[in-house]
Parts: sequence; C-alpha cells; structure tokens
Amino acid sequence: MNNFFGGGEEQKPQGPDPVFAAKTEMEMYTDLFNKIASECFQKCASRKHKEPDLSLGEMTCTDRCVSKYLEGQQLIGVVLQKANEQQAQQQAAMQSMQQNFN
Amino acid sequence: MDAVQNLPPYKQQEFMQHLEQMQLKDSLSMYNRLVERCFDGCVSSFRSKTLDKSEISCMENCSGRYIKMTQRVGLRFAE
Repeated sequence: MNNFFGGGEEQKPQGPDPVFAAKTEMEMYTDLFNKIASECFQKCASRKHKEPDLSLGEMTCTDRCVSKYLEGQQLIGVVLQKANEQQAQQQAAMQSMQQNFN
Repeated sequence: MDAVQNLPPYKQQEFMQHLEQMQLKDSLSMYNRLVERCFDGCVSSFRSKTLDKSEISCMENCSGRYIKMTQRVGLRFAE
C-alpha cells in the first residue's frame, strides 16, 4: 500500500510487542518454577539434612507437592478470571449509566 | 505524579505503551505471588497428589479475599 503513494518508511507494527510478550511469559514461568521449588523444599524436605540424597518419602512428597501447586495455580487462575470479568461488567454498566445521564 | 503529568504530548503514546507493559508484568507477577502465598497457607499435607475439598475451598477463599483487599487498597490509595 505504501508503494502506491510513493513509498515511505516501514512503520513499526502498532499494538503489543510480541517479543515483550514472549519475554514476560518466560519470566513468569521462571518465577513459577522457582516458587514451586522453594515451597516444596520448605514443605517436603526435612530440616535436619542428615543425608546428601532425598529420601523416597521426600521424593514422593515433592511429586505430590508439584502436582498440588499446579492444580492450585489453575484454580486461582479461574478465580482471577471471574473477578476480572465481574469488574469489566461493572465498568461497562457504569459507563452505560453515565451515557444515559448525558 | 509530576513526571507523568508533565510529559509532552509526543511522548505520551510511548509512555502509554510502557504503562500497558508494566501492568501486564505486574498482574502476572501478582498472580504468581498470590498462588505462592495461598498455597503456603492452605496446603500442608501431601498424602495425595490432588487438592482435597478443604484445601480447594481455602485456596478459593484466600484468592477471593486477596482480590477484595487489593481493590480496597486501591480505593484508599487513590484518596
């Protein structure tokens, strides 16, 4: 289209930057991983640290801990999504009320 | 917020884009922190690999309350 009218510089695409989105997503997953590791270590590994290896019980606990954590994360994701939808609805309702008054 | 309000118009779009990016990062980071906090408070036994009913309800309450608290803080902060 630009060439039709004599060309012009290439425009940066408007809208969200995909590299930023990818970076942010990566950071989020890294953060999530670190949090899971920290939580499950705190909850499953005995404080005595008598041996260099994890016991079978600690390993099983870790598996279950990761599974529960991810399940909890999904659960809270749903709660957050509902809250966002509710807030969006409220905002839309307020906007339409304001328009009716004008 | 002097620096924000005194931005020249040609810089405002750039700022708006940054603001959107900051908000996205902040919500994701809030989400992760919330999950961590609620998990820490609600889950303490690992006899099973799925959450039991009391843990589920605790997590739902925890996150619901946190959201309401954030909203209230937002209101007060803006005052």
